[in-house]
Amino acid sequence: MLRLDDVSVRFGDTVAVDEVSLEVPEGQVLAVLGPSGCGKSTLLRAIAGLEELATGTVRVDGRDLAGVPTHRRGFALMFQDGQLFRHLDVAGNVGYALRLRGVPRSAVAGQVEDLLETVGLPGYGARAVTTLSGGEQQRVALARALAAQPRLLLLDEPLSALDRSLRERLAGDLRGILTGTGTTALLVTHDHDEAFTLADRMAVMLAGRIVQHGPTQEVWTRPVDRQVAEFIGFGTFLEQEPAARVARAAGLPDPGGRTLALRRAALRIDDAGVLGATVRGAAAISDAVRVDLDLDDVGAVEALAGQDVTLRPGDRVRVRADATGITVL
Amino acid sequence: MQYADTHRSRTALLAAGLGLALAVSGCTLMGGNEEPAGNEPNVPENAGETSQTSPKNGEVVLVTHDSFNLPDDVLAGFTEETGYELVVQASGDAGSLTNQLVLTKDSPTGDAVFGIDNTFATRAVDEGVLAAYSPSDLPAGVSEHALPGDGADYLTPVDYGDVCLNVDDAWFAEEGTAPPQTLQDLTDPAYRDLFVTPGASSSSPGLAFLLATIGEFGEDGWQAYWEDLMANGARVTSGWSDAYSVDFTFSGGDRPIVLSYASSPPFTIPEGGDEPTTSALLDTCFRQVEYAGVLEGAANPEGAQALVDYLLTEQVQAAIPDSMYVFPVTDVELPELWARWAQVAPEPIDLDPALIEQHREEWVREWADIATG
Amino acid sequence: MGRHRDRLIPALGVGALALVPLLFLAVFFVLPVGGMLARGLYPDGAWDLSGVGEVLGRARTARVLLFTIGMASLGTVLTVLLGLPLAFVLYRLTFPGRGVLRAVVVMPFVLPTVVVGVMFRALLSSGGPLGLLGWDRHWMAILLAFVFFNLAVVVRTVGGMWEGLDRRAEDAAAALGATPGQVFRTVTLPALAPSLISAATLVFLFCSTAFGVVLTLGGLRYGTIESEIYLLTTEFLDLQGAAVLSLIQLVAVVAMLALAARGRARTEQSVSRARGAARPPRRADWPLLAAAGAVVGFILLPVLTLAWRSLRDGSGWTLDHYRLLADPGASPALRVSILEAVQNSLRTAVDATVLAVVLGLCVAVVVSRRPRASGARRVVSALDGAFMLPLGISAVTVGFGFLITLDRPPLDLRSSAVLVPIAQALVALPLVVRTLTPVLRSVDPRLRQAAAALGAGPLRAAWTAEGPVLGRPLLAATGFAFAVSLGEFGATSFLARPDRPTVPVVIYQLISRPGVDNLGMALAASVLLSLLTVTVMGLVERLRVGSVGTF
Repeated sequence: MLRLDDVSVRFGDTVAVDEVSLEVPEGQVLAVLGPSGCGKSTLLRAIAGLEELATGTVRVDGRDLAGVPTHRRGFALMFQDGQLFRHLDVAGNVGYALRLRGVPRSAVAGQVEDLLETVGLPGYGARAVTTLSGGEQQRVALARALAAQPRLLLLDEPLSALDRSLRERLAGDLRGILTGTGTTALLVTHDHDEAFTLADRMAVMLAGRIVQHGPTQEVWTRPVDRQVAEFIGFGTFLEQEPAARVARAAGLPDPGGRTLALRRAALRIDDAGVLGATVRGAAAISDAVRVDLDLDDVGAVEALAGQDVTLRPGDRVRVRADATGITVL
Repeated sequence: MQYADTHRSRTALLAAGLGLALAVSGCTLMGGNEEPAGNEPNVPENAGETSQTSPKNGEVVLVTHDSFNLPDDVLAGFTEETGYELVVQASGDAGSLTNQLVLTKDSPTGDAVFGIDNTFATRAVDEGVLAAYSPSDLPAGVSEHALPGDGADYLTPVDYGDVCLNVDDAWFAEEGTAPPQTLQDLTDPAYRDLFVTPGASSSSPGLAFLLATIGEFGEDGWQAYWEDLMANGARVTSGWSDAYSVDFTFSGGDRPIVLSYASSPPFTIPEGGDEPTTSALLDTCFRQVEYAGVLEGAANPEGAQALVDYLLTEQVQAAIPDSMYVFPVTDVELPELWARWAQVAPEPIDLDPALIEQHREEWVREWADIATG
Repeated sequence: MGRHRDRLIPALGVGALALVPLLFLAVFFVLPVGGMLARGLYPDGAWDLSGVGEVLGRARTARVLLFTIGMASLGTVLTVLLGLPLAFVLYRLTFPGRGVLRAVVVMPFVLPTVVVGVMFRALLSSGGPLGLLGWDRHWMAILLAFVFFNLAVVVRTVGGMWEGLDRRAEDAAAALGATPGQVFRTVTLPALAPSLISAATLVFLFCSTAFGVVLTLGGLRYGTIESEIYLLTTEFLDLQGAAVLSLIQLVAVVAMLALAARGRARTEQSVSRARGAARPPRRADWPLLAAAGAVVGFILLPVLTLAWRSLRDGSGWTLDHYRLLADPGASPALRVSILEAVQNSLRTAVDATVLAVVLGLCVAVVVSRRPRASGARRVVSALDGAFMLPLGISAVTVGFGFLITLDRPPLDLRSSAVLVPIAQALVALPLVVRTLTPVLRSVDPRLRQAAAALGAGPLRAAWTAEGPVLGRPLLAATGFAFAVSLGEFGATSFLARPDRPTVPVVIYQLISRPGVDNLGMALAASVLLSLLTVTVMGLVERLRVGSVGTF
């Protein structure tokens, strides 16, 4: 449905977006994942028609959008801090796109109420936007965007400004709403959880270029190179003999000369494990304990432990290797 | 962290800037106060042996209008001769000056005044802002400019100027027509759309011109004259500056007859030429005389009297033409340019100052209805 | 008890902050104006209202009142309309030369009205290059002059706000299908409204009290309240008539300010601010660029005419007028050289600027607070308006008022040199307040509360929350105040001592005397004055102390 070919955006001599080609099929959600400053927001703005392209084309359903101004593209934009119109109340914000199209006042009111219902804020219409919490503001922003019935919804880090629990809950809701309404969406974010939860497909963007592009699960488990792997959460990289040793413990074939990448969850403290290690340090995280280990004949690695064990530097432990957190580059 | 640092340095920069600005301003303000600005005499009494320029008798404050101007050495001469420090306060025109004196009658802002003219003299005298004083031996020629009646006891003439029609002779020569001669000529269709004057309600020469027409055509006849004048295409501007420097043909405008001063033509001698290209019509003049006097309630009346005397000395009188563009009342030698070209109306149009004071508001209002409708 | 004190201390602090500027206003404005009104209506210790009916009944009074308000309203609308595209181009776009243009826009603000009057007339008079328009001594000329002088107010006040506005709200609206026009109307304009109203208020006050330029350009046909008061006070000494007109002026100004305050209160909102919201021009910007270019051209036309004429004498091109600027004996009309006058001007302007900015900052901080109690809110709003009043009251009333009220110790200041910067600060203060207040009010109060919750004292909290966004507007206000004091003529000519005249005073003296050289020097001095302003404003722009940033 949306298709980018060799899209570049330049600011003076800086190339912010470098020959990006992407595709988003109808009804799917694509996440462009990248660190701050990689050019993903610029890419989003370029798709919206807010930045001029240096090269390339943006097509929707095969039609080139060059020369089509933002307001005729039929998209909607949602930012991390909502960017609600502060001089309007909640209903005013949500009904904005409808009023632009000259929908009669009475019809607007009904649709606004429906949309607020959809995003979980029934009866909020008369509230001033400044009285809303961050999560509520994002829900209103979502309702405002959905009201336009956009061909394509563009989301710029929609959940990043929220606290963790709210983010997780809203991510689930958002995913439900997007699939429920069949909305095609493009999301840019630096947060892989956000991308993982919301998107069907994922593109990893580094320094202006798309370095990997595919179904979320595939990118998640099979990063193409070490840079991508590091960015999506692989913290340990092993080669040669140590790599072979861990692969064997996880029941995987010998990687040969290639690099083995491990997420933290790939190694677990488990008395039944086949690997031996010395604890260097430990720290509790939300639902587990993160452990720095010196794995015998391998070296420094990260691992997870259950919250019930107490670990001190110097303790000897057994470690189990789990194939799901391991990939060969 | 980086942000915090830039934030702090920015704060420091702002603070430093503000501090610097305060320091600078403190300096300038203090600098202002060091000079004799206040009313307190900052002069030591035992100044007998110090140099001549050092004042020994305190200060005299002269209140005047914003056209007052004399060379620094002439002003310093007053201190040398009398030992008084001279402080000048200037604001507004003659009318504004007079009204200011009336308003501050109970606590005058100075000791002496210069610049009340014959159109406002009666108000100043009647309102009692002046103390009686007249220099004991008036130089020759001064008394012919004196106010009629009691006024002469309070105000001493210092200078005078004639407000007259000026014509651009070069323009008339080119057109091959004769320039007008009298006020009445201005209503002649031959001079249609050729005259510009500043207004009587906004300009002091403008008021002088109105008074000239009242003197010429009488208290009941001037209105008809002005109606004819306006019907003949006279243009009224707000000030002398724009009438002379925008509308007058000499300055590139389209009006060859302008209201100005008898002393204006010498300033129109072209570069390389030796003769003005404009001239004043001496039968159309109203004479403005400027007076000096001692203020009632002055803190330093002796000093004020000395100042009035000083304004009639040859030093001041000789400097008046070049500094203030008017004629001295005494018989001093005029600067060369003036001696050669500047003219004086032999018989300026006369109007009693008391009559002016009595009717000014009424006349100006009537005039405004006719001329600016 | 402790909790009670916690709440009391910030309130007291804010009150104390208001005290200094209030005292300033009371002594240098309320007292003198009250004194003049009392002289007119309560002479000799008894009410005398005998002439009131007569003044009100005059046909001229009604005509003058209508003309004043009508012209000021028209002037305000036109200035705002022409100022908006220019503010957009100068504050939302980046391009080389922007800093210079921003400074150029302020030039007219300091040009002496008498010189501009003469230049406009030279352009528009029947013999002039634009004589065909037939606008000489026509109200159109007055209107153009209003725009010419006041564009800077709109461009800088609105531009300061616009510059920090987050572009993404507009982007979101555009993506939702709003055309550029709809985006401007439904998103940008509401966000700009408070600063727009601020600017319009100032422009209206400047227009309604304009004096010299109205008389020069309109001829005497068009009297305004201001020129009537001047005439009654300085020529006729009709203090009662002047007092009645001053009261009408006061009532009109207060009504207008109340209206503006209501408008501001309705439109004010906290605004999210972003750094680097400006972008390079695009193709779609051309209509606005063209409009802005035309407006700049309109500003430059009289300025360039002036510069051109300053370089001419009877025979051709010359630099003589500029050479004479340094020569104290150049014109017998002057006691000091123009360069000395420049020094006087600069020193006075620094004093006035510091005074205006310090006081203005205090006022802006106080009036940007939004107390919960409605009574306190009304006090704050009244305070806000009070500091605008000096712009709406005749300079001659204030000037004469100084003379009759500041005449005894400890306030015997009539002959003191400090009155000049004080009078200038009185004029610059409203500009400072109006530049800073909209920005301060747009800061989300939760930021300040957040800082307070982290243990910051009231001042520290205010500084943490508001300091960062204040940098630029403070600079703008400083530059503005400086320009105002450099160009101020009305009050200065009334109070400046003849041995220390400022540049506008000197220019006025030169232009009031015959002689081609005097006019040439007046023009050269005007060019110098505007170059000085451009330089100062350019430096201020260059400082870039702090950007408007989010946390």
